[in-house]
Amino acid sequence: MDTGIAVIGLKAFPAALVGGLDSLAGALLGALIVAAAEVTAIQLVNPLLSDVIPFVILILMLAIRPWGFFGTREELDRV
Amino acid sequence: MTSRRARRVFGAAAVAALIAFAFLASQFEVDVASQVFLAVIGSLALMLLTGYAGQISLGHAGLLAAGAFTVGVLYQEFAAPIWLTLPAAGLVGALLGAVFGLPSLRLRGAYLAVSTLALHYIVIYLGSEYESSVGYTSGVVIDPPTVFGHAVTSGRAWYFILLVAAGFSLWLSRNLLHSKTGRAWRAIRANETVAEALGIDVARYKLLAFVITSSMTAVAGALFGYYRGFVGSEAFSILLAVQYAAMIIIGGMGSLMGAVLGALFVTMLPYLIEYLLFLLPGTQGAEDALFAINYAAFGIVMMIFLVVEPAGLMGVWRRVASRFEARRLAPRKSSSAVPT
Repeated sequence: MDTGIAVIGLKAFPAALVGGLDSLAGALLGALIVAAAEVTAIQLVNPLLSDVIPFVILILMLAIRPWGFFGTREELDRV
Repeated sequence: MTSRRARRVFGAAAVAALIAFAFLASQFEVDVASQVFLAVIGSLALMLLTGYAGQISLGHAGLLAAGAFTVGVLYQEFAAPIWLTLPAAGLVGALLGAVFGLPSLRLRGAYLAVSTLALHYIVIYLGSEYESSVGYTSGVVIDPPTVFGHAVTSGRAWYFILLVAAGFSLWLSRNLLHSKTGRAWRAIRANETVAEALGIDVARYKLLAFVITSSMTAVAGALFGYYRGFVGSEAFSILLAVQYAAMIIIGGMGSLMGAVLGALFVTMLPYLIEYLLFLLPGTQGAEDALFAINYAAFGIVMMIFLVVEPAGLMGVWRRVASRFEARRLAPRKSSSAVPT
């Protein structure tokens, strides 16, 4: 075990936010999307991207639909 | 009037003490003080952004890295001198700030904090990509800069350069806060809707906050790169971003002096713990555990501050000061009380 494991916890944020913060099913979908994109990038482009891709996806999602796939729009103002 | 004079005397004494320190302290102590000055610049920038403009950022380690890598790349590729690399680092920081300030126009709180994490990881990725492309595995070497024809190598010279840089940052931050910009930031932090209603261009001032503070942080990163003599992406972990957040929380939100105290405290903490640990009996073999103990102690101190003293070191300072003030004023008040 090492401190590098902390980054897994940090990647939970993109997963939860992409799916929508107030939706359980959304978290599942968000995690799948983030993980799939990450593994694809590692395989095809560059292993160094593994920490970057989840956050790039998050930024894209926040730009297009900040409340996530299944989240409600009102949740944005509550945080 | 007297308080202004007292403040001036106190300021002069502090400057004299800081200058004397460079000549009295050991090499090691001068190095620690230089690290404190570097941290002061970064924490002042973060204080302006979070403590005054109310925008949360976890991308500060990334911005430091951006500044340091700007110097590293410019030096390695073009052998650029320091008077070119420092402005370049500031410019890169300003650009990054403008781009990663954009989410702040739509998001706030946790959303904004996480989107600034993206900045951190992207900068670190680009840095390590450059490292591997030029074939350095541990980092990019930067030779000491030449200022007025002299290579700056001695710890004492660095002490004074960083002292001036930190003092300049403090002066700049103070003036900014007393300007229209600073007032707009405070209004935005207090209430965005009200600020908008008062005719403040909220979007513009939010972006300006990101641009200015990111630029400051990147310059601090550039100085850090020069000071260390090399740049490596390993040095800028997410822990560093958390440490900067800790500086402004421990120092006390919404106070420039708090940023300075917080930087001092957080930078000194590992050395303090090391010192205290070896005072205890039977800890001679504990060097291996020191790293873990530092981590744990940092977390515990952070929690204690959040629970017991949310106003930070400045809160403690104000409470102590007001107690003395009350004692000083109490007899005078009773003697000069005039019945109306």
